[in-house]
Amino acid sequence: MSATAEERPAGAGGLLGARLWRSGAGRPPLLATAICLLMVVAALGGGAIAPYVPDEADFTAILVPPAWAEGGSLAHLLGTDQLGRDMLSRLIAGARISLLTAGAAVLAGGTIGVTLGLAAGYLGGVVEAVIMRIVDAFLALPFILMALAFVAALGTGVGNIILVMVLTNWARYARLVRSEVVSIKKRDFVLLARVAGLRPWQIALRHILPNALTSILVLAVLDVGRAIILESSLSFLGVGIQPPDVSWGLALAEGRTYMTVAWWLTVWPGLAIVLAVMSFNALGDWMKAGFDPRGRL
Amino acid sequence: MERADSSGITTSTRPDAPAGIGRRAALLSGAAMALAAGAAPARAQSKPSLTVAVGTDLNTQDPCRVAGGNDYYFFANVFEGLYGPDEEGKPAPLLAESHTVSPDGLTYEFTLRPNARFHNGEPVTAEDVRFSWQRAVAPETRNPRASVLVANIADVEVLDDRRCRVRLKKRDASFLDNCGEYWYIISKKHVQAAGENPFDRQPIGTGPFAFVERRPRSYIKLRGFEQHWGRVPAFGEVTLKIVPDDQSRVAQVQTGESDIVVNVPPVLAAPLQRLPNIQVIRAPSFQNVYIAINALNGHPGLRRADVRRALNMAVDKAALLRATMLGFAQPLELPCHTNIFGCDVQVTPYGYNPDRARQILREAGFDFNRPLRLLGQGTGRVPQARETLQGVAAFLNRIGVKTEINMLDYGAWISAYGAREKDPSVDMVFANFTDYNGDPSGRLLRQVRTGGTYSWYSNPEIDAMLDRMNDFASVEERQQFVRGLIARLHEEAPLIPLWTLDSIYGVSKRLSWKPTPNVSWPVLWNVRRAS
Amino acid sequence: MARFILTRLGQTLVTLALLTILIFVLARLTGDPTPLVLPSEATEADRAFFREQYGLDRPIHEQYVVFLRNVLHGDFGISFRYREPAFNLVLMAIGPTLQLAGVSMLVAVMLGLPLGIAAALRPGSWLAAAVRAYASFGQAVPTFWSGLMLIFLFAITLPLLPSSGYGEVENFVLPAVTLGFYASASVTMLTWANMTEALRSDFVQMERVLGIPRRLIVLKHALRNASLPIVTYLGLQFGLLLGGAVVTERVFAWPGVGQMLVDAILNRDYPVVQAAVMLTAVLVMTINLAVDLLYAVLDPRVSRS
Repeated sequence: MSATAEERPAGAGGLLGARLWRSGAGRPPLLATAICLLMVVAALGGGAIAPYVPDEADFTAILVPPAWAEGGSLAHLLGTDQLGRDMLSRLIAGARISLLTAGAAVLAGGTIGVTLGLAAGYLGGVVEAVIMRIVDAFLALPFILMALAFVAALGTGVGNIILVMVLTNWARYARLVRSEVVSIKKRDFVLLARVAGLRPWQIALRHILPNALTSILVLAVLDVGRAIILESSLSFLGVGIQPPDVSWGLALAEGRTYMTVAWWLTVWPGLAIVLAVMSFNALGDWMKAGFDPRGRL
Repeated sequence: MERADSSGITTSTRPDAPAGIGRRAALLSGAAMALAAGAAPARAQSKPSLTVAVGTDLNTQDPCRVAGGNDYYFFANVFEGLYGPDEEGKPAPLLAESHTVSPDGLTYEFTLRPNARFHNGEPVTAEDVRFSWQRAVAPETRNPRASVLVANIADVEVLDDRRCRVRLKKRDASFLDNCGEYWYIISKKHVQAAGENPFDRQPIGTGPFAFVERRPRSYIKLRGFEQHWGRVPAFGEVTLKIVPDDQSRVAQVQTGESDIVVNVPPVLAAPLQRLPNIQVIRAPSFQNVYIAINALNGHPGLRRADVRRALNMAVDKAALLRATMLGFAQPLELPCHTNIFGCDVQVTPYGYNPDRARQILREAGFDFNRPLRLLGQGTGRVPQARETLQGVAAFLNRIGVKTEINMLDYGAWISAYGAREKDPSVDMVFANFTDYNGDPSGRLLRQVRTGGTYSWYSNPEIDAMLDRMNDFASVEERQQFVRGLIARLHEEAPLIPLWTLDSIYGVSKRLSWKPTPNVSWPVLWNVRRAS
Repeated sequence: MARFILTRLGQTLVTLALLTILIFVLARLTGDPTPLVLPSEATEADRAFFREQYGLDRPIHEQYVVFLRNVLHGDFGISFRYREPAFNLVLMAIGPTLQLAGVSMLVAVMLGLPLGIAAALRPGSWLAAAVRAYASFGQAVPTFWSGLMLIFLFAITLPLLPSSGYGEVENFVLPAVTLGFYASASVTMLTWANMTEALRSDFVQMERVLGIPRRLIVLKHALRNASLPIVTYLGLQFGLLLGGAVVTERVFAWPGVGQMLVDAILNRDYPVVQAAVMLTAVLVMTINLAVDLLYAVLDPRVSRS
């Protein structure tokens, strides 16, 4: 065991940041990190931070412009929407749903994909052939179309949207992990572990997974941005998140018809999506520069 | 009328080359044509073209297979019945010139117009009327709407070329009203010559516009029918361009790519109106928006009429209409618009009274802890459908009723709404229903009669009234009866009626047009160039 | 080598077989088409006839066997909605989609290639920073948003271009820019990375020492070295664009496969869903296969690993 420890790079966890720093990825993108953190705070804080109940209609304050614009009021800093709901509160509530769906989709899709990829890569043979052909089949379907069909089949709602996103993204993880495993498998420390009599699943979990973890993490962070866009695209097509839940994509889709009369209905959620996706991508790129300088991802 | 070059979708159809059949027909019956329309073909070709942006494509070109309201964008312009809507939306003789009806209301005798012609140039004869009935009821035609009108016809007797006698199996006071949309007259010669699915290749009717070509999901091209008996359009080529997305569709008229755009969402109507070269035209439609209440197997409280009335009181329809529809709709107190036969009855409005509503619910022992589950249209054809249901929920919340909203895509929604067994986990459904004409009988049977496709309500007394409502020979007697029925429905409150939509059109100022009121699709023959 | 090609071909066929099951089940999961095809006046007998006519009343495994047999004969069935052969409808739509994807790809290359090269030539400069910002913005903007903005700016505010439609050259501009802008972000980053690597290579370094003009080095040698992965990537990206254009096609009312498929799914039009997904997937897989084989030919190590 001690022989393998040296060859195996330190795992993820607490040392991640330090490793990144040293590896030459440079300074972490401060603004992006701040925005990501802000999103997480908004998602966790939710109701406590929001000035209003996000889905409470107020028919006396419909389409109030942002505070600084003509006709705006300080009561609604970013204005109100077509049912008199406070935009700021809806953005905060939207952060929760957008992050929840994206996060859950990435986590669950990642877990499934990693497990299957690990199995395929390590076990090889028939298992690998079957799993990889299924992966190919899923990857050959354009993901938004697959999502659309699944939504039509399963119905809308946050749970189903997450499920749909999981179904559309697990295959990428499986493919990535399998290729990582295939290359790691041949390395000396894994061979040694096998000689030392460790069971296959122990080898896979203790030795192979930690080595593949960095690539998985990078893919996951980049995937959050992709998931946010997928969710908003589904909402745009009318089959994503549905009221009374609030998401940025939904707010954008519902405010879209009002684009010429009330720009703030589309600009704020659009901005939120762009900023969030850019931040997660920047974070992912930074990690990638550290872990994966040759751009295998 | 000047048109930008970019307007055409394809250049394949030249204006000087109408469809084969049309040209042959013009040669065959040149003399008759000049008489009928008073216009030479040369003039027809020099007529300007018209482009109309619509939201959905056709389901079918066969008048015996009409599937839904959107198909009428085509049928209302290309086909005609013996009767149909006049410019005021009232039933008027179209292909028939006049009719007489027997005292028992069972026999109608129609005289056809002498100058009525099909698009292939053939005159419309009594034999064609008989054939149109035969095809519409033949089992192999599989006409899904036969039950509404044609199945009740016992026989069509040809008296001479221009006269025929229609005998009904049982009295049907809505017969003439339904003649427009449920019994289109088709050409026997054409159908027999064309083989299987005659309308798929060349749909030939008698309407003011003749079919030229169609590219599914892209456009339908028509041309003005010069030989029409009276409604000769001012336009040569007419393109119905299919642009499903609201915003893109409205942009069509802003950029001048289309001359008319249909179904302008209320939100986009106001900014459109401010543009110098565009007019926004509103016409009352018969498209009703309402909330159906599950009085069958949903929340037990909903089985009580007083509770359902209280829910009607809880919703401030006027405020909701202003907020979501920006005023582009007519508030609805009764299940149907007041222009519908018998719906001019006077009732005491429910009125917006949340306190009274809450009190009634308390007295009725309504279970406030069980939330009402609301089913909505997430995608669909009704403007502001999502906002409307969210607004209704907000008003219900104010009287202490909890709500859970479930928005579905149109296909899932219509499956649930029209399911044979109604889902007990649904308490209310956001819904819309378009009346095809001014008679309420067909609609009410499906909407509130026990076992009706869209009925979430059952009451033997109402059923008995519905079954009787067409069995009158006297219009006055029937009117009294239908008024009584509508008033009873108002008391029973199986629905929360919200409003009747306005048809909103964006129209280039180079045109002048008065859309036919109470018809929920554009009838284009009376579009003219502004002088 | 031959073995590699055969294996890859075999794999592709197996994947295709799996796809047919996936597509078949997916289409049927969406729900009952009857209420969407027939009017509300239709009787129960009419509904039963419809199901019978299209074989929807038979057990699902039987339906699948029929479907598979017909597909092998190139028959995808008749569309419920349009009553035309589904395959013909899809063929009619694939043209516009391929054209849009092609033109967008061109836009992406025209934007991405120069930007990527410029950034690689001046690492650390403000230009490189600007290019990085451009690329990360391009990847983060949802296409429906940029599409709407373009319509708002160039069709409504300044009426220069048509907002939607298909057929004329002008119709291509806005959708192709929307999609091309999105794709250009990744083309930029890829060009940048590969150019950087190529410029660092010994060969280019040596040329620099030999005093060959910089422009010539960049254009002739570095770019050539960097072009293989870029071209490969473009192939894959083209496949993505085929399916990814759904939203763009919707915004611009482009009569392509994406929009047809969205409508077909919402209309529960199984035959069209099946034909459209199958055709798109086959196209994507063919491109992937071609790319793999090309790689194997150019880089023999691939086929051996």
